[in-house]
Amino acid sequence: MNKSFAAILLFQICLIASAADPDVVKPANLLTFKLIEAGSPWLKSGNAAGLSQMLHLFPAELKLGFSLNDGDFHSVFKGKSDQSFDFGSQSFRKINKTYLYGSFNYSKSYEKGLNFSNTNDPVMNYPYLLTDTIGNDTYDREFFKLTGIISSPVNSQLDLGLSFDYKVGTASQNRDPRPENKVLQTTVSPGLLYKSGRFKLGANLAYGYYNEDIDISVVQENAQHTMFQIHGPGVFSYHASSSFYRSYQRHRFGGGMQFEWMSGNVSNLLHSDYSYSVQTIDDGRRGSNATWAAVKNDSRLDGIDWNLTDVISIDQGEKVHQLKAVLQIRNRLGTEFIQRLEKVNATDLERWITYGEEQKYYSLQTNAALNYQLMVKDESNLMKSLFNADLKYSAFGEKYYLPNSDQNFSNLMLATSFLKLFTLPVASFSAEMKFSYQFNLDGQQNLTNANFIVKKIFRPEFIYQTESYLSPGISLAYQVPLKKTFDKYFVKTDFDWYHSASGLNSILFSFSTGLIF
Amino acid sequence: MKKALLITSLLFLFVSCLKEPDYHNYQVILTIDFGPDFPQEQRNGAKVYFFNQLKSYAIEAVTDTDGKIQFSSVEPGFYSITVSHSFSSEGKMYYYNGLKNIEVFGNVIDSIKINGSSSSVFVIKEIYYSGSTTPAGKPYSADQYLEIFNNTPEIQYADGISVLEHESYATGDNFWVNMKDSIVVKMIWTIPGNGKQVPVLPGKSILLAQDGINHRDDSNGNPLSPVNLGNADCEFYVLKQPEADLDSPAVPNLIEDLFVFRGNDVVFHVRGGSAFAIAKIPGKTNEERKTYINKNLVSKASASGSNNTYFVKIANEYVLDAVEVVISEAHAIYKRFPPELDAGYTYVASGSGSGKCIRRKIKEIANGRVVYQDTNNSTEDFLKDVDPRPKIYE
Repeated sequence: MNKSFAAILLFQICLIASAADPDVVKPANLLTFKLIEAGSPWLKSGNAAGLSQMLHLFPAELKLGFSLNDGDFHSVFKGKSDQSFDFGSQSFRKINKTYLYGSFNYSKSYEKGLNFSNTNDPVMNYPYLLTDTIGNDTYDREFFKLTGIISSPVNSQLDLGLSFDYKVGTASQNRDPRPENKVLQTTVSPGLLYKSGRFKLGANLAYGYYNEDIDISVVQENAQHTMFQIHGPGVFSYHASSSFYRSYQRHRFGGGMQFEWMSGNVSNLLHSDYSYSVQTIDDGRRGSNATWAAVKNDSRLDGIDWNLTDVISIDQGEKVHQLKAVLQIRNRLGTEFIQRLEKVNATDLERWITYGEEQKYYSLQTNAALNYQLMVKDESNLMKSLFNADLKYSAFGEKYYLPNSDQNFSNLMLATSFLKLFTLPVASFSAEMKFSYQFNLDGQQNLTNANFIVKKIFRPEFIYQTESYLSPGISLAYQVPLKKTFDKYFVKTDFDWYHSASGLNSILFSFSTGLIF
Repeated sequence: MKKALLITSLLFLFVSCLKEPDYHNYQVILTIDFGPDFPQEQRNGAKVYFFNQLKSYAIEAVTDTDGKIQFSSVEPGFYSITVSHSFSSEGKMYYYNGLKNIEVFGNVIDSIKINGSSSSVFVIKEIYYSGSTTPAGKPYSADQYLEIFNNTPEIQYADGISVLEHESYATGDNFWVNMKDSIVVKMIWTIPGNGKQVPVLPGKSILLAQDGINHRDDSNGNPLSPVNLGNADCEFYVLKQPEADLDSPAVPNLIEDLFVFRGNDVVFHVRGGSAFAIAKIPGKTNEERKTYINKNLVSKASASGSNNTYFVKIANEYVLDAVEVVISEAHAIYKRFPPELDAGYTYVASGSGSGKCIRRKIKEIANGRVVYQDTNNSTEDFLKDVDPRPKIYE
């Protein structure tokens, strides 16, 4: 689809959703979206029907943003710096008894100083990456994302919901070997919510699709580059050519259940979702030439994702306490295809013939988090301050069989933040202080091979993943009221500094400005 | 409430993780088929590279005394097996290679046949015969030399190695063309020693000079000469009374076994007619070697037919290396050495007095050691018209 056409279409849809008249109008400020996020646990349950359980605030915003991530402390798959220019809009609305949410985002970014990646998003918890070793590349990305949620009552006890998101874009490099990645990602999820007195029971299904086509070309005449197809820690095959095609396709099927119990000012929401995914990685090539006329099946990755969350909320009017416990499990099983290029039939056409499939890769990622949140609201039910304290545990282990290699590590993170809104005679001002500290609990890397892919990628990445670091940050925002169509104008800036135990640093700076209405 | 809890509990029962991989691994037992004539004591230590063609990694191992090898825990796939083995004996290097592709989708028991070849442990690295020109414009050829290189990773001994010059200058048809199994030479000079006295380190050479002096500085030399041969290992010295050849006291003399047209000094044909070979002539002592020479005299009548001149035929099997040096491209039709000794030819195109030489090409650098190309084809193996660089390997 033509990118410009798609962008215009998505933007129009978003504006239509935003332009509809809400039946309830409440004042909004620059913390309203944060208030909705913090005070509406159902919005994170994955069930679109739960949108009707949100706080009755219906803001909309248009904003322009810039962000810069720069420094030496980063994953080996990431570039030294990443600049992003964004335009986005989002809106909550209620029309009659139907709740709506829509958002649109356009992003143009430049990731510079990239050394080892030809996949758009290499940090995806899968082993089957594609890389070359020509360093100092720049990834030029352009992405559009549209999200929509609708929740409508069927009767007084039953709500029906549907959510979808659609992300499409391209990423390209302009130096040989130069990949052009076309990425499409979409999710559709219908849901139901049953309400009976103090209980609410929800269920949803979800289907997700991810597609990334990579077309790598070499412009220089008579030049070939070697592409490395990684299969696991330190294990790879390679192919020297002047062109290369690869396709990642993933289907995800799943669903979730939610259960809420309320008594007085106390509520408890327990939700869980479970999904199974299957991803295929195919290369389009014959012996040396890139062609989709002959597909070489490289590998397949089966995955299971399970999330379990429990949120206890105590609403004391001006103060809302919330305690949240989260458990996430990500499990992957990788299968390789043993194929050989052979001539078939009498046509002499070459095809990749499959001789076997071998399960060779296994990984398990476990994340657990405990969060306490205290939100203080004013007499208009708008947020005055927000305090957060987090304890996060993460563990990751992966194994490759024959030649046997494995690595595992676990980290613990402590994080806290405090956000406060200051009301001035005309304008408002908010400040947020953030601090997080991550330290490594253990880590072990046992790689059979000591090849250069290990030295250049797996060893440095392991060091990065197990590196302790601290990160202070500050966020400042300022809003002034407007008299006509739009309600508020705001500017916001964020600055986070990451400092590792080995002395490496990186910064994340962002600036945004826009309108709230 | 109870129903809801029951439903939630049932949901969690369905939650399960993927099992760890169920993968296959196999055993591969290989036997190297050396053939019946292969010496038993050399059968162990053959290197076997077990290469996974899909993932481009290799497992390396060596055979036991029976020529067997076993690989355990091999993942399924397509493999190529390369066997390489070598040993030296009697001045020659014997190479054995085998290659086989196998598919591993179960336990495999297989054998690999290997084929042998041999090459000299010594090769002629460089020949400087064109000579130079003095400031007065006169030709100068006393700076000629020939360099012999140890092309193996082991120490080799050069004493007992003889330098041979073919009988003909290749200006006409080879008189001995029908003698297929031998070459006929007019000059044999041998490096002195009992076979263990002149070690040549791997990747090093031995330099045989016409006169072992620094030709650029010595008063008997030529300041325009391109070489300093003061570090030569041996020199050609023709003993005569009164003395006519320069005898460098610091450089040992080669043993003169045969010098048919005995002049005041050994002079290679400056235009390029001298075809050289190095050989290990049978005989552990000088006397035994000379006995072999005397038993292999062949005669050739002079052009007038009035007298015969005696030369020596050396069987090809004793020749370690040969370089067919011709005067020019046009003279290649008079090639003298058989293809099994040198399938090609070479020469200094810039001619006599140019100060240029021919030098063997470098094939590879193995563990820091230069290995020169030796395909038995001097057309392919040698660089033409290069500056002389005795004992420099790069």
